[in-house]
Amino acid sequence: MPEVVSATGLMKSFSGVTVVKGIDISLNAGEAHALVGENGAGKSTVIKVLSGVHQPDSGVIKFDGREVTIANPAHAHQLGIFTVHQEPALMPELSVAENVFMGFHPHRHIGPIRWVRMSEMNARCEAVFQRLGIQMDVRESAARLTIAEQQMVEIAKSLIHDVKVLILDEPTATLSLHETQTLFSIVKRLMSQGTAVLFVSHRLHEVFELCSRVTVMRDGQMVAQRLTSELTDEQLVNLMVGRKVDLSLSRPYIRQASSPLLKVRSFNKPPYFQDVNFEIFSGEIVGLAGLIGAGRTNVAEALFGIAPADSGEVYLEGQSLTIRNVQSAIDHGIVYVPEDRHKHGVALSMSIHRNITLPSLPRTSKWGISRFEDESNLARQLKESLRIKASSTEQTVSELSGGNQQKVVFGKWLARKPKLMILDEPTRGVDVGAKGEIYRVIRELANDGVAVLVISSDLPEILTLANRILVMREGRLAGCLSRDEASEQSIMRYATGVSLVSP
Amino acid sequence: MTVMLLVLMITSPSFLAPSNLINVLLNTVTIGILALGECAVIITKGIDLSVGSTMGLVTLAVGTLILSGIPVWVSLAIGLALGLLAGCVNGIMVSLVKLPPIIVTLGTLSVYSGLMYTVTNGQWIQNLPSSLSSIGNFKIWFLPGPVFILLMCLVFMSMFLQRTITGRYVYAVGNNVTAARLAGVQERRIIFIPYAITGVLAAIAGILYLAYNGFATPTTGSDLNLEAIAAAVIGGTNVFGGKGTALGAVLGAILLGIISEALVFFHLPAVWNEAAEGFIILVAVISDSAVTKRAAPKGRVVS
Repeated sequence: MPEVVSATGLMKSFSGVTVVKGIDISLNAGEAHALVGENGAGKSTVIKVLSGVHQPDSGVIKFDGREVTIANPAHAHQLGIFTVHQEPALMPELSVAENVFMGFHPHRHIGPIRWVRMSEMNARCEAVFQRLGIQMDVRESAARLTIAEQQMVEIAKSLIHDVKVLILDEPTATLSLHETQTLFSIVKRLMSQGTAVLFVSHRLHEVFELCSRVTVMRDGQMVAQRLTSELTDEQLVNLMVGRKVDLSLSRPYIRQASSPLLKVRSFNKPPYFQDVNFEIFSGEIVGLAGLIGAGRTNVAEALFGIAPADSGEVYLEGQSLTIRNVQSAIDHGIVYVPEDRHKHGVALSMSIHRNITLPSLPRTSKWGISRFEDESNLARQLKESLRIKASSTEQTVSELSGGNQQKVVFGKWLARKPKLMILDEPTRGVDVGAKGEIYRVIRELANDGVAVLVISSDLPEILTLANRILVMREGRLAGCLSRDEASEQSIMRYATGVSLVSP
Repeated sequence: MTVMLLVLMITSPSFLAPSNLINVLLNTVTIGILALGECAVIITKGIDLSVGSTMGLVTLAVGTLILSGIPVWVSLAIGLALGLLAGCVNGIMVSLVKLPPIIVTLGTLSVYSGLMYTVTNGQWIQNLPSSLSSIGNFKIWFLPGPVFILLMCLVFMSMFLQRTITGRYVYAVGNNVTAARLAGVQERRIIFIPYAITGVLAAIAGILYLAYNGFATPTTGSDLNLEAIAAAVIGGTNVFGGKGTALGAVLGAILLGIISEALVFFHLPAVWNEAAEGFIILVAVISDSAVTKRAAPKGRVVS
């Protein structure tokens, strides 16, 4: 297969810190090449160099055999290099179609003025979404889209061009299994048309599914470049972290209490969810699976009082309770770690200390003035027990890795000694090493008697963590699986309502 | 916004009389034209505090030039160039030097209004030749000339913002600079353009003011700096950027005009004018944020 683009001896440093130290990578037409490594390994920098956002300090980039300097993203686009970035970067007030075509509006010239052909733009955009197999109103403003839909718009952006190189930076982090499959079938079709793909993902089974070669980075260096057919999952993980990680350890759970901690009865909030009934026992980890949009997050938000349910009963330790707002949920010992930690979970510019103690200030205060000693003791304690990697509790949260930021969010709520902890996609965007750490923390929580409800689209994660799995489909609870009954197939069967052929 | 217009029109039916409406329009021409520029600037996440002062400076400069015997058309051309220059100064400081727009235009506000005094030594400009006032008093069909020019400016800005690629880039930059940059939009150039346009529009507003009123003082326009912003915001321009329309800005200006007319109409003292305007601005901003909240992201069922 002919080589489309290659980089040799790539070096890049930011303010004196070298983040990429001599990477060689080449992409062939019609082939997917995976780039893996823990967060902070330098993958994003490699991507940004190839997509024209950064200029390398040294190294040679060749495109179609000729040496090139990719001056800026526009230049990358001219060459046919497109990047789907990890965080969707949309323009909320503009229509879906404009987001897709920004920079490439169909237009005609009238003198020096370039007129946008709006109807052509909308029609072409609709065609792109049809190819993607997605129903979307292209005239709707992007502000109204869910994260998964936003990701689809990002992908659509690259499809309006003749894509020679498609760079996917963790595109599936926000997608459900079904959407991931749709994405992969599109990517595979593009590959069959000769597009070269560079694929970055923390989900290793996806790497094996899609890619024929894999480059592993660690601390800015290239530690291995292999054919995926020569590797096992475990070998790949060990190459990435440079130490042994065991993700598969499942935790035995014996129900001790006779009555549940939380009982939810005919919980309703159409159109998001209807007639939801379940219970959770103390010390139990319950997984909540389902496709994105099935209403899982809405149930969580109702329990936490962000968007209360319209009707239904909630019993905590046998007592009926009405959750009208977040404050009442917290007062009853229910806490929620949201999906988008940057938006809802942490104050990035504040220190670990300030973040952790924020919800506990009423407890460390007297006369409305916080006692600094108590506060910093609390922060230090939690930093130790969660093993947050930071120079001190005074370090700013934005300087921490994704996994450690997530631990700060955990710590913030653990300080309140919760009874029920709801975790929404707890390891989204967290690397493999830190995943294991977060699993450990979740298990320890449960061992201490906290009931944990884990929402996750990562099926292996749910299977690893949960003692019992609830599956939602289109706003209803479609099934409840015990640890022994649960498998990726059985979960997907309930989540999609379709029988899948088991291998 | 529309609701407020309707309420005012219903509570005082004689507003519906065409002659009165045209009167209101005539009084809002200057604010309307300034608001058009302001709206584009605010869409880029910027702000121009110096529009009124730019307008005032052009007014005095053109007046002085004409009185010193320079042909009217030459004076007008110089006036437009002066407005463009003033806008470009703002634009360059914001886009190239990358200073915060509020600081830049606060500075140029003082500079331009200071220059107004030096141009005329603090004197009024009056006794202008009739060739100038004919610009202010011609009629096209039933529309007074200045109103016609306002409509021309409105059509121009609407077309520019809605239908040209540069205009769409203005929205893009205001919505998400990073995304715009990744799409190959050269954001510096795009941020510069609205300031330059605003300068020219301010010059047009100044010339119309001079032609229509026949005089100008060293403080002309200074009260319009904030009114232009108010009109744009009332008309639905989002102060956080990315959202707004030219039509909205003009409607906002008209609403402000109606308020001051209504005060006269109901024999309320003019001292209430400013407070009423402020009140309307707050109502507009609050209702805008309420609407935005209702349209929050929704959950979607993926089949």
